[in-house]
Formats: sequence, structure tokens, C-alpha cells
Amino acid sequence: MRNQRRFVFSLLFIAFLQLFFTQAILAAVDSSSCVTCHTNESLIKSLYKAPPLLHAEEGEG
Amino acid sequence: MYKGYIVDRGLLKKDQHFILACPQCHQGNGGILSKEQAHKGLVKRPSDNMSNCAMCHKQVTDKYAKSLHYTTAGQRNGVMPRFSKEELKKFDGKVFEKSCRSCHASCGDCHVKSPAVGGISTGLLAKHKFVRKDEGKTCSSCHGGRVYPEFTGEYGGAPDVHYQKGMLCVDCHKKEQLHGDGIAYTSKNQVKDRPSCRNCHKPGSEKNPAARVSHQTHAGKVSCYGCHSGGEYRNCQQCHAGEGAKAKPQMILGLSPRNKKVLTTLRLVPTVRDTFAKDGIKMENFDALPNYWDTPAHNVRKRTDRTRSCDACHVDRNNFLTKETLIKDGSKANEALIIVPKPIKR
Repeated sequence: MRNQRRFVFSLLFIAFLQLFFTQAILAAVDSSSCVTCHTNESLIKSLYKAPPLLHAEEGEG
Repeated sequence: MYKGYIVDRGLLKKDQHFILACPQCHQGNGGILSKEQAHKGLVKRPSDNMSNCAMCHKQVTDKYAKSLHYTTAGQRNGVMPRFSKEELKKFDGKVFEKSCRSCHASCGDCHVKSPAVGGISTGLLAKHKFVRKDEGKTCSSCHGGRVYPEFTGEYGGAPDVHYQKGMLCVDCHKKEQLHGDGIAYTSKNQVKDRPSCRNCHKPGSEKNPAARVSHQTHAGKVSCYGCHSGGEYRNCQQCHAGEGAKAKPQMILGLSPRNKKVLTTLRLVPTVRDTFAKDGIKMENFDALPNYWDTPAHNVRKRTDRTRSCDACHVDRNNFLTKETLIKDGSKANEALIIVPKPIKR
């Protein structure tokens, strides 16, 4: 009975840890400058510079 | 196009790929807000280093590393017989690694972002969603010179009947073929289970008796494309390093260089005698290969001039390669591809 309780407690603890770290990682990803800029269409539009056009080339195949 | 750089914020919580922070794959610095500092050391194409994808998709990446899409070995081996040993060394160093190999497709080219052609890419396929397939934005970029526009009819003429029925590239070219099977082939022609018309169109299953007789008569002598290619397709020639090639629409019928018993559609090889002259490669064995290869023209039609009338080939000999129509200063091997269809005894 005690072992069973320990097992359930361990499972819950692991699940809690996983949830905590996943949320922490997601929060970090969400607040990074990469996400801040690359999800803001007007900002990206203002920063975008068209690449130089290389010599005319068409696909293979 | 700026839209190619916009990421869907909603994906960050839905897609497992984003559990890792952006710099995990792209490097750079996610904590600094200046554009220049944030992009310092940025890796634009993280899947060029397949170990990034291999963390989770090892079975696929192990096979893909040997696939023709990744190695581009078909390009090297296709032209290799024209070189002497010394020339091949020069080609490998000066041309293959710097030019041909730069075309290899990484995982991201098909699943994340359109590959760049001529330095231009249409950007992220679906705001950085990892997509299974999107042929119109991926295959069409690299194969957009000949095969794809022929297939869709954008090159002129009628579209391929399979396209009209709603089929796209991956309906015939299965993912197992695109990812590779773990064998390092030297040419696509070595792949045993590559797409074949007969996978779906079983001989003997024709509803029209005339079609059945025609198929039986020509079996082993004419390829499916020989009769069912709908018309002119793109032929590129006079390719020179750094300058590109010239193209014109043509249909060419002749013997397959790989199997001289079979009549098929031929396509000009862009390589000419002085293609690599700028790199100091004369191609000492240029005449070892013809200037035409058998081609699976992707403009298939059920009914064509050749399926409607035997005379198109047996009397008029339309589009057949002749001595007069061979390219100028071409390979001596070209003449072996000429065939004159026999008249029909009526």
C-alpha cells in the first residue's frame, strides 16, 4: 500500500516537473527577441531588405 | 518577400518542434533586441547540418544522407564519362562542390521553407509550420525549369492528364523514394521501385481494344512517353558555367541511350563541348555520351497525334531525330539514337 502511494506520488511529481519545465521553456521561447520580431508583421516589413538578384537561373529537372 | 520571414505565434504552443528555443537550431542570440546582434552567427538553414533533425528523425536522416536529392550524385555521374581522370579531379574541385552540390536539398527545403533559385526564395511555406508536403512551393522551385511547368501546363500545351485529375508530385514519387532507401545510388535509373506507369496502368486492363492491341504491338519497343507525351517540352542547350542555358520547346523521338531497343522521348542535355571551358576542362571524352537522354516527359495525355494515327510515326515521322535535326558540333554518339520507323504493311 505504501509502495503504491509512493509510486502515485512519484508519477504526479514527475508530471508536475514536466509541466513546469515545458511551460518555463515555452514562456522563454515566447518572450525571446526572435519571437517578438518574427511574429510582428509590420516590424518585419519595415526591416526587410530585398536580396540582390543573382544571374537569371531557372530550376533544373 | 518579407512575408517569408513571419512566424505564426500560434504554432509555438502547438508544434513540438518549438519546444526547443529558436537558437537551438538557428544559433544567433535570442536575448538581445538589436537586429544585428540577434542575428550574429545566425544559421539560416539549420537542416544543412542534419544532426539537428536527426535528434528526433534519425531513421529518416540516415537514409536521406545517401539519397540522390542530398548527394546530387546523379549530376556528377551523368557527366563524368566525358572527363579524363585529371579532368574529373578538376571538375570535382572546381565545379561539382561549388556549383552542382550547392543545389542539394536539405530537410528544410521541403518541409519548412521554399528552396532559393537564383538567390530568391518565396520564404517560409506556412509561417514556419513543419509541413509534410507542399509540392507547388518546394518541388516546383528546383524542378521549375522543365518538369513542373510541363506538368501543370504553364510551359504551354496541355497540362499532364495526371495533374488535371488532381495528382501532384508525391502521388507518384513516394516519400520513401524522396527520402531514399539508405542505398547511395549513382543515378535515379538504378532505383528499382521508381515510379512507373505500369504501377497503376496494368497491361491488359485497357477498355479500348484498339489501345490493347497497340500496347501489345509496341511492348518493349516504345516507351509509354513515346506515344503519350502530349507535345513539345523544354529542351535546354548551350549551357556555360556562370551564363546559364538557352531553351526552346521541342519534342524529340529517338532511341533511348540506355536501351537502344526502345524508342522514347529524348531531351537535350544542356552540356556542350565548351560548357566547362572557363574552368579549364575540355572534356577529352566528350563523345563518350550523346547530347540527348531519354526523358520521362511530364506532359502525358491519353490521346495524342501518335495514339490517333499510326501514320504520325510510320509515314510522317513527326518529331523523329534525324541527321539534319541533330545539334551542331554535337557528340558523335548522337547518330546512334536515330531510328527510322518501318512502314506498315496494309
